[in-house]
Amino acid sequence: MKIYISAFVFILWSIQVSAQDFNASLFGCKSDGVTNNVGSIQYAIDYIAKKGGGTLHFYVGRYVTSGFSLKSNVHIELHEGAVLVGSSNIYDYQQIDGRYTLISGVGQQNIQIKGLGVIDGQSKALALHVRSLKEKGLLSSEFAMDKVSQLYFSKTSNIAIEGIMQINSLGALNSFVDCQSIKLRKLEINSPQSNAVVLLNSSQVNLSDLFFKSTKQALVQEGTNSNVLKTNCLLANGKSI
Amino acid sequence: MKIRFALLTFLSFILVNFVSAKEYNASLFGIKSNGTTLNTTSIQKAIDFIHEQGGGTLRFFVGRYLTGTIILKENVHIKLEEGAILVGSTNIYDYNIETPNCALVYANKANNISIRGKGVIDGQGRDLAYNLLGQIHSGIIKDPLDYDRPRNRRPKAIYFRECENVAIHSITIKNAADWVQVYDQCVNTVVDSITVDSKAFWNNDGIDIVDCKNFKLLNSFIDAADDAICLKSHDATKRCENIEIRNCVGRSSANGIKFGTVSAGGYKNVRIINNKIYDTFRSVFTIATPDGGIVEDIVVDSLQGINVGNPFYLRIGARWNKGREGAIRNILIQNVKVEVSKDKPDIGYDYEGPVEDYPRNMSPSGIVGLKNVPIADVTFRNIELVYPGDANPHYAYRGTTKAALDSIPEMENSYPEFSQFKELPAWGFFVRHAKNIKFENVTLTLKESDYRPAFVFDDVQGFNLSGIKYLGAKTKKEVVANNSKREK
Repeated sequence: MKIYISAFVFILWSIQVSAQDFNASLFGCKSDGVTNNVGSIQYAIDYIAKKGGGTLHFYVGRYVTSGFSLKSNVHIELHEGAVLVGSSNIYDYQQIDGRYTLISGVGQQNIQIKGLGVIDGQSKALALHVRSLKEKGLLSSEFAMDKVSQLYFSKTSNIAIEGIMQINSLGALNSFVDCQSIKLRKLEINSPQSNAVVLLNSSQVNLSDLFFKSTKQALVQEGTNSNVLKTNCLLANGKSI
Repeated sequence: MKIRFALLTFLSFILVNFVSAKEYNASLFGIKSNGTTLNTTSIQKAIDFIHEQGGGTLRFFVGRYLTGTIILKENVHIKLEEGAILVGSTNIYDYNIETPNCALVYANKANNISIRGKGVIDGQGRDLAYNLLGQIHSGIIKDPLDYDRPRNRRPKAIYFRECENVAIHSITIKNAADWVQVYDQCVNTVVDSITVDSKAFWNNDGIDIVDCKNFKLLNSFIDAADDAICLKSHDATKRCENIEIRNCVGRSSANGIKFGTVSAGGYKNVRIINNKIYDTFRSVFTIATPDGGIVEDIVVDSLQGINVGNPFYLRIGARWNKGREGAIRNILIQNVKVEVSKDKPDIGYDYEGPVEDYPRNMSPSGIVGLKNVPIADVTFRNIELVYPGDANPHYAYRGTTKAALDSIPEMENSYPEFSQFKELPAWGFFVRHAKNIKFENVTLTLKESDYRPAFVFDDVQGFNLSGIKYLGAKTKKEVVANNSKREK
């Protein structure tokens, strides 16, 4: 009997451990707005994934980063005042499926980005960099600015993006390709040059309480998408999408 | 005869002064300017020696003088000549971390002390703070890590407590790990012609004047990540009294000139004359008294705000007041011009202010007391404010009906900032729980249209508007009053 109880307690304990919380600073992330933290952030995500999952917490501050990849069961919490700042160097973005991505998830499950924080793509500075590279011939003149994605998911299921503000992206803010079970809730999107939500062959998409301050298009659907639900999704002029 | 005697007395006076103000070069004590030798013990020996000799000046010439905490003693003066840099060690164990308010230059009950010259104090605060954080993560130092940053033991560049006759002149202070410089319960202090350049880490207040009496901050330039010029009151039995802030320029990723946040005792007779605030994230001038402090007899004259987040925020709260009622009364604010930026005013600075309290459109100036604890006798005279407007009611909306106004929470125990209520129902001034508030010759310019009125008065017993001009975009109604009395 005792053994059963202790086994039960052990199981409970291990469940709790698998949902552990980690502060960004534990991995050497700096909130100074100048240090590029990609090494620390990617290491943190891989580390938490190996531990069976958990939440990486970012508190108030500006965390500059290059492109990084999310893993199954790793959640990101951006607390109020925390800003993930995309690098202004196009070479810092991950090339996936012909796109340049800041935050990506490919073939993963159970992904969350939550909180009251911000993801800032620094589109102005990034566009300047792209233009200067084109002028020098270091980047093909055909390079399209809208190839840069803020959040890009492919073949990933059970994704929740909630509460945050997404700003200043060159290309689409939220792209889903062959994804299932997507929840976007309570987002404020302010990015004049880019599409906010792009769906390609994805299903069970729940969009609610979204506010599009400025975007090119709020919702773009390509291929065959099914079960796309929209609740209280408003454009700046007050109209629903 | 009389003249000869006077002359002799005068000469001997000079001689005595000269002897007591003897100068010592740093090298005399083996202090090295190479930037790598840790000089803590040599500098401390020099200070102790000079103190025992009855006082004098320790002079540092050009070079980098690496050091941990040094403790100033009575009658000891530090002279940092041009090119001399007192460089703070990045090893946290080189500081007096077991003392509350540890600092690179520390003094407690030491009278007649000064730091002068065109040299620099560089706290190397970012590396120092991150090294401290490393010690916390390795478990050697215990700390609760508020907002994922060390709560305790971050050294200030200067901390002077209960000192009399203090002078800080001409120096540049850079890169603290916490508040840059703190004068706590000091009497007769002059800080003149200094430069603060500190965006090194969180809580880099430019200068903190805490419960001081007879304090002058003059002709200084302060660029700091947190509040630029800050008056505080930590002791409920003390207060800041007879304070003059004149001819200063400030820049901050928080507030320009602030009273608080900790305001236990209060502030009396403060004159803030001819100052300029620019590229500042929050308010140009703010008084926060959430802890029972009494704020009275304050004059702000000739203040300019360029590219800032908010003009004014006056707030009584009830946070750590332990039953004592705070007060803000007899405040004169005149000859002020402020331009509020549509974009983030501190963009590009290290440790930018946090994007918070959303959704909200541009926040107005606020004068917000508590129910039955009104802010009293405030006059705004000759004021020009420019607001960007462009508020979107679909994004954030607060109406002006009685019900809508009543729905604004009191938030008496929250951290007081101009944005704390999120959306407010006015674009110019929101005044609540106040009495005898006068606006004379106030020009409000709105750049783009706003769905809100310029003024909202809610529970204001006696407000007076004279010579109010509205320029730029028009709003439907300029003044809304609820449960308030307007006086002609």
